[in-house]
Amino acid sequence: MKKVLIGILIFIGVIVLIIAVFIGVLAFVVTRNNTDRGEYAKVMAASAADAPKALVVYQPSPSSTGKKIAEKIAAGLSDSGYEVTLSYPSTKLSPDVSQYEIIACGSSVFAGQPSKALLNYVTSVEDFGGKTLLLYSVGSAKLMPELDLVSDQVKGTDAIEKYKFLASDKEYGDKAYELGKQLSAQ
Amino acid sequence: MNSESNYLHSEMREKTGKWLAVNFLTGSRILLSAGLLPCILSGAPGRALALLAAIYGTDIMDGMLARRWSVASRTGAHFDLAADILFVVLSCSALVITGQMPFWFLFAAAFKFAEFAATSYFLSGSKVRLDPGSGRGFAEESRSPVFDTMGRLSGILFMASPVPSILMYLVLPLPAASILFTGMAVCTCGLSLISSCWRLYLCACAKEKDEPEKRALGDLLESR
Repeated sequence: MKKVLIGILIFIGVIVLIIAVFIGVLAFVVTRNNTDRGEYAKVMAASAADAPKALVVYQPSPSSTGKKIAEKIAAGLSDSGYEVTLSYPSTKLSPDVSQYEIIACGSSVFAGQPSKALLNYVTSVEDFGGKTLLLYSVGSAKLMPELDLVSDQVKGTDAIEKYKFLASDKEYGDKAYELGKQLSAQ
Repeated sequence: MNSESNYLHSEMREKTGKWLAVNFLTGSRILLSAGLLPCILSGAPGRALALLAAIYGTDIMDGMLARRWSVASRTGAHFDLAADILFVVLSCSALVITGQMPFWFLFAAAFKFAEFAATSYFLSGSKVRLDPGSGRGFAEESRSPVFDTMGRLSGILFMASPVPSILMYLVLPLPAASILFTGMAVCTCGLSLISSCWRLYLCACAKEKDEPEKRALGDLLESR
């Protein structure tokens, strides 16, 4: 009887250990996704001097997917004649977005939560001034409750587009580029 | 007498060195598994595959060297298993998080490892050793892991699972990769389930038997 009990305890112990390792890995990824990455700005200049401006704010993900998606959206906008600025959501990024016609904000999503750094940035913007705002996320599930969390913090615009990129989708680059093109057409 | 003692000392030193080398190989697998994690998470399949090759290399080498140098031990066997389990759990966790592996596969691996640890404890029994001093027999507890063929096969498949899930999504179109991986995962889990049922059946039988017969059951399990 004692041996059976010890066997059951070993079984439970191993399961608990494995769950702890999984939670540890998940916590590592979520922490990295929430970290403020500091100041970053990359400008994709337009051919025309008086070109309209667009801002793409993205939180880099542990994989390179987040960066690739942001750059493809920016490429779509740039090819449509916009001067695009790519930035990380940071306390150092100006919350004044009045100079931009289109603003895109996105991050990876883990455990149904968007990046806290992105959420804080969107909250810090006092007025989106009626501009077109794209909120996007990258995750493994099709549902996007995380984007509702972000859109709840948006002030000053109703022109909000939401889009979810699936991490397993190989064509996310093309879709992101098309999304950039579509945004510029609005 | 002195030269004999020196010979024994040098032989012992050599054995210790070999034992350390083998366990260092096993330990390096833990470090390599930790290094694999950021490679999978950052979407670097080339580096991930190179690390996987190194991990499988250490797994093959440590057991082979331990047997060749006669330094195989119970502690080493447990350490090897712990390193293997940690590798599978870390790599599968990373692949689940990046959406390259279904969550249920990690759950199935966790269940199999937990069942293996518990049934190994139950099935490994006492064995009789001869005390060289008194010449009398004494019972020695043996808690070595107890393997079975189906379980070994499913263990190999669990260990190999990160390779196809990384490769398939790189090479194949998504629906084909998904179907292929799911098929492989179902086979792995099927083998694992058969192995678990067999081991639990043996545990139920072993509960009724006395110690020597339990050893025989352990031997039967080894032979299958």
